Amino acid sequence: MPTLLYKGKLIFKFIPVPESFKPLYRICSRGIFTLVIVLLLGHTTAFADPDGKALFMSNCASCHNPLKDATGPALQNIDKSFPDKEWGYNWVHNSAKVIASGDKTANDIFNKFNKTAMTAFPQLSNADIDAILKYVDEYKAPAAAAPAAGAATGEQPAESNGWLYTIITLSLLVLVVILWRANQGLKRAANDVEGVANEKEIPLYRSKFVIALVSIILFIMAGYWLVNGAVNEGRQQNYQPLQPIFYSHKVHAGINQINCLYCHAGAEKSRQAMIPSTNICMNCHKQINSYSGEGEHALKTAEGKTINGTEQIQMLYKYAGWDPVKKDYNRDAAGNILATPIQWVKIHNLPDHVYFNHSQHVKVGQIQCQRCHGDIQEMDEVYQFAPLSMGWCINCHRQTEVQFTNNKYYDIFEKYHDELKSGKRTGVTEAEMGGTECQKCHY
Amino acid sequence: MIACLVLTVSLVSCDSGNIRRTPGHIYAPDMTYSRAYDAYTSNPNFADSMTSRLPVTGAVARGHQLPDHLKEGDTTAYKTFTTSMRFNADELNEGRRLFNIYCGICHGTNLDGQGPLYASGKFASMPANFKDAKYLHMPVGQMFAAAKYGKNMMGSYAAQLDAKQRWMVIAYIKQFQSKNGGDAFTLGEATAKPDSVKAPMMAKLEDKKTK
Repeated sequence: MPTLLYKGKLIFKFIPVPESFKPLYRICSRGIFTLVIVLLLGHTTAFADPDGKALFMSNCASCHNPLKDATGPALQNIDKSFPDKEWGYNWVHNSAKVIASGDKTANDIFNKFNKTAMTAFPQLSNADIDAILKYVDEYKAPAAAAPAAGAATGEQPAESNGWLYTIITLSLLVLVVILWRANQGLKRAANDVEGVANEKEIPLYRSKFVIALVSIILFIMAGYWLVNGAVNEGRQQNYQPLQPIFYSHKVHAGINQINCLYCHAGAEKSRQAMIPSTNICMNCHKQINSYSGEGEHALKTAEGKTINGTEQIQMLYKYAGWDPVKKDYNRDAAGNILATPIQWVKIHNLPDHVYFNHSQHVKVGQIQCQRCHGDIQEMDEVYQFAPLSMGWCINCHRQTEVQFTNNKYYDIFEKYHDELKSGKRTGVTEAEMGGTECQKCHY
Repeated sequence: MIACLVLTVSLVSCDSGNIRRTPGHIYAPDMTYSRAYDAYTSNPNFADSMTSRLPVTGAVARGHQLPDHLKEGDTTAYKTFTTSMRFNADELNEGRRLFNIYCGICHGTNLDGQGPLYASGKFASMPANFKDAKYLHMPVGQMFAAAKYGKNMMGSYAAQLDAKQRWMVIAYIKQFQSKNGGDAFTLGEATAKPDSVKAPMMAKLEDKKTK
């Protein structure tokens, strides 16, 4: 009898089915066997019909959508526009042949879609094509995504209570003054009754103590305001200009998970992070011609004005020289695309005497974009997150340990590598490699 | 007391909700804003007002590849087009990283055409599924041409990926496909060949360096 022992303990023992259970056991096993056979048969019969969805996905989906025009026309109910069924089969098997035969319907479609030839699919049987057409005709758009959880709970934005506290504090102060005056008055009245001489009352504005106190406070506050104001003059923290197109980083980098480097490809390669040209926008916006995320995330300016996302995409098309009806670029006689650059407003500006290089920070230092730019993926309108002051730069150079090991750029710092190996130090900051030298950034 | 209230109210009404739409004043504008034309400043010397210009036709940047002479839409030429470059494990990893940044958003980081933009229903047509038989045996030159010029709904990636990066991405895709029923992977360093594309002058210089 098979048994299994582990460290002397019995963990498995085969127990034979008792005689009395045998009929039941037989019925069960037979039942399962029949079930498997039925399931298998059912499965194979399902396979006998071509799977329209699978065929559509592997052959058609890269150019066609059931509901929207893409590289080719929307396919739902397209079979109703065929002259006859045979025409449809011929078209799919070899559309070029149908067009060459001078067929009018074929040539109309061909011209409407910018003479993009459809790949021939001789391997699809007529039954396959019928299955695909059946699938697209029955296709329904997936239900719109449920609004984000945050929106559903109906959270109220926290209002600032600062003014309320100010009023309460002021009225309490007034109360203190009134009570103090009343107390003084009562004391005087009591003194009068008891015949004790009252001190001569000096009005507050002539009291030396009060004058000295007020002038010292005023002096300190004025100094504070003056120094702070002078230091911040020329700094642009929180600068959030209106841009020519309401481009939301939250929609692109946040909701749609597009990597920062997708558009700002230069951040790894050069001094400039690269402001994407319109052709990079059009990589996706050839297909995405409307903003459908209102339920999920309604677009609003910082002032609370509602923005129509679809209109903004139409504005992009004007800049990019894209004709959304023709689904092609407008071109001049020489074939150049008639695009004009979008004049974005520069937000982060370092003075001309400061050298800053994106690739040095992003590629060599492996610094995340958010470190200096804040939670860009949460911003509808970008604002300057960091003060970009020299103190801010230097602080980071002093405190941040760089990606030192496995980084060819820092190979030459042998002493630090040795010290890291011997455990004498745990990390290397930028300042320790000369990152606070004046000439690093000012030359 | 009334004066206090008036002051408070007027201070509150001046508060613009902390939205800063103007950059504010600066001490020395000519030190802050470059007098020279910067990369993105408008430039009156050119008809299109752009300071960033294209390089002279035929110029090859140092360390970059020689021009490939592919022409957009020349379907016969790119089928035989290939590279002599071979990639080591680090470069294939870099190819994977670049793929995830620039291609994954549509083609999916699993290379199955189910990128976030298509999976969320925002795209009308499905991006290429590299596991599909149609793409498993696609010539590398055809992929390169698609990355350089775009194809159907796909745009050109020439502005984001330079030639070597494009080849690294293609090598990564081909390596992935070789593990998923595609052809044997030939762009790996183990199958290295002498670099015939390199200009003779450059080869000489590198020879000197190694000596």
